[in-house]
Amino acid sequence: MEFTQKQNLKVVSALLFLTVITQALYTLFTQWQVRYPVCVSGG
Amino acid sequence: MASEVPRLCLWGLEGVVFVVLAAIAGSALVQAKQYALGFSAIFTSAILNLVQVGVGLTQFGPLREAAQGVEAIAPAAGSVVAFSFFIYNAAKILLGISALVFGTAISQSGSKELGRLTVFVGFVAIATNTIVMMFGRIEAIPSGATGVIATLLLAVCLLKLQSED
Repeated sequence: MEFTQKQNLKVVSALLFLTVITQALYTLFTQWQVRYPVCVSGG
Repeated sequence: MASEVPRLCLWGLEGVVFVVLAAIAGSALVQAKQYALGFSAIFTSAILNLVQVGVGLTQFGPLREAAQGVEAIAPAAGSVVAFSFFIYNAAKILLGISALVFGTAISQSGSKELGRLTVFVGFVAIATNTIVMMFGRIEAIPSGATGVIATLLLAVCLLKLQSED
């Protein structure tokens, strides 16, 4: 299996978008955890 | 433990994304007739990010638990966290370099505003992450946020570039 350079660019940009989304979700989660520690810990 | 699940899921997902990103960016680097520096920076950042996520996933939890039981371990646990952030900031500098390369390319090929913005944010990401790497974490310097914005703009530039080719 070989990707063309055009396909490489598409996949790399999609993966970079995915890393941005996961980091945004992680930040939201940690903020939420700080604000509502009881809800997150299940207590 | 419930609070650990989303964190583990997100870091686990990120780990897989960085593995695939390293493979595809490496493929792009080998095939590249131009922008080799940009692809090289993305490839290397993926490897560094993988190391950083791996340290977070496998070492933060046990070290935190150990530090709660034995106070003397706390500095060692702190040093592992600091190492992880050091690698994280190095990866953000690389993404900033890539944003400079592809931002410049885009600004010369049509989308001047997007290109200039990407170059600017890439430069800011390089500067802020360099400061944090040198002097340790500083709350007032949003090194992570600038790196993430540079990554977002870099991704947009890559999409633009492939549609223009």
